Amino acid sequence: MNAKLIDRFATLFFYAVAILIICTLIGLLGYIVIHGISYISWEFLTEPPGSYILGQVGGIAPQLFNSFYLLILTMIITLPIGIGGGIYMAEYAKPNKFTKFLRLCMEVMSSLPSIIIGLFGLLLFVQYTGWGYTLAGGALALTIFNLPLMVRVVEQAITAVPREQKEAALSLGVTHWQTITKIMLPVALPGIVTGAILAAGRIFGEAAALLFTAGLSSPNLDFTDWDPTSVSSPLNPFRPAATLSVYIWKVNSDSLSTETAAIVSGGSAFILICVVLLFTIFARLLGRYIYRRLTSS
Amino acid sequence: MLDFPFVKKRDPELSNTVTVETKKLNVHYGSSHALKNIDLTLYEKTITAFIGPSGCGKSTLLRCINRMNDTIANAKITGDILIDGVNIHADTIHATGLRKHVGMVFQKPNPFYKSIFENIAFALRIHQTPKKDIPVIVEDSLKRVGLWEEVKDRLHESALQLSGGQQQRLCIARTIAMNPSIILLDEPTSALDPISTEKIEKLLQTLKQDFTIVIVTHNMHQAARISDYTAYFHLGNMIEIGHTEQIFTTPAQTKTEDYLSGKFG
Repeated sequence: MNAKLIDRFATLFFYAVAILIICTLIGLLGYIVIHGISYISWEFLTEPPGSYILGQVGGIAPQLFNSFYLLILTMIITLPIGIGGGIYMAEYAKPNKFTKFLRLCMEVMSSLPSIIIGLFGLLLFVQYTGWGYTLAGGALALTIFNLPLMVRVVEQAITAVPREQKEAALSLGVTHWQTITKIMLPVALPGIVTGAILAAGRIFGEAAALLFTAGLSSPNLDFTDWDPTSVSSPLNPFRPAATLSVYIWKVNSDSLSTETAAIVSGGSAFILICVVLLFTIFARLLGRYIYRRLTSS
Repeated sequence: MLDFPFVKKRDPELSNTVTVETKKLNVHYGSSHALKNIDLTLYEKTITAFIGPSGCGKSTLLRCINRMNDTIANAKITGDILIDGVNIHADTIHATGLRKHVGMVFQKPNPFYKSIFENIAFALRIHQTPKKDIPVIVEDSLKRVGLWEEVKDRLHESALQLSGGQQQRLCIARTIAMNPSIILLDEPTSALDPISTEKIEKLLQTLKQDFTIVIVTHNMHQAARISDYTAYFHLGNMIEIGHTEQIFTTPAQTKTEDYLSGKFG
């Protein structure tokens, strides 16, 4: 075989791979959309769930709210620590054994199976603290694998800032810290925002780590009560909360009616996919917008 | 190696005051010996050019003068650097204060990702310049680098929209806005076209009236055109320093002559 022929084959092969990936994606998304979209109604989005064990469908309002609220709680914990860690790794950590060890630890942390993190969360955030199943416990469990991701995202975004920018600031007698906060972070911000939102997509879809930490049920929520200390308030972080993905799992394993399970999980899966897709698109748009804002005032 | 009294002896203008002096300056990056026993003198309100082949240590020496080498983890500096008689490594001297006094312009124009105005105002604000003075200093700095007429109507647009030559002049404006006494330039025109280069060279001639200027250049014609003193470096040694005219016409060292005549480099 001559080089030209091999080149043809290689080209063909890589096109085939690309088409395979696209087809899988379209097939998967198409299946979820076609099966899910017909179940979506205003009631499905705003009503609490019915007793699905007996075949009532109801809605997914509390689960949808829980998913978003848990995401926000996780981000409140993750963002400051993640940005701090990223700045440390990019600007202060010296290239030595300790730093290598730290990096290894973070890689292990982010690649732990999420069910293991769920069990660890059960021991620490549910039993040891005596909180029981809570949103806070769920958020902390999610933090365990979201944090290394955030640190990596921030580190990469800061490292990608041209060295000339840093040198320019330092050469004007600006301190290292001022250089980081006033010159490097603004330039790195689009990358950080994009990374954070993509990480958020993963949190939003996570189920296994939440089964044993945030729990499988939600109390009856009163959406008019916004006092975070009240038991029935949606904002109370110390209440159990099933998220959308956990709910899909639960309905499928508990319901006696396969039809109900199909309806509930079909509709929920559609919503889940839509939200994650929106996150991705939003991430790109926001990243681009911030970049434009910062470069041409 | 020639020690610095050489310059003094042959200097017709002995009234020139010494601004920077290095004494037995050595720089190591890890195991490599980047600068060897440098004894250098720079005079006030003159232009000194550092020339030599790549890797000869000329940029390293430049970065010692404003302590930019502090930011490199494995750099080890021994010997003394005196600016107006003050040891810049003394405990009382902070790198931030020193760098205000000793400005730097880089090889690649590096305006901040901010507006033209902010590029200059940013560091002024950091150094607590009174708010009402800032627009005045910005205008004055831009005028001094000949950029004011070109940008006065778009001060609040991104500095990245400027051409390479304009960006480099903005970087010089940003530096002189700090009112330094010394300006270090690290191959400031190597990324620019000939017309922009000429503008910068002319600008340096004017700035010489107010600042002590050190320029690293790999273009020896540039050194010949603009500098008062030229120092030739080779493999971490300062081979020779003297009046530019003397270095280019009657170099004392054969190595300098070989480099200038294009035998290597």
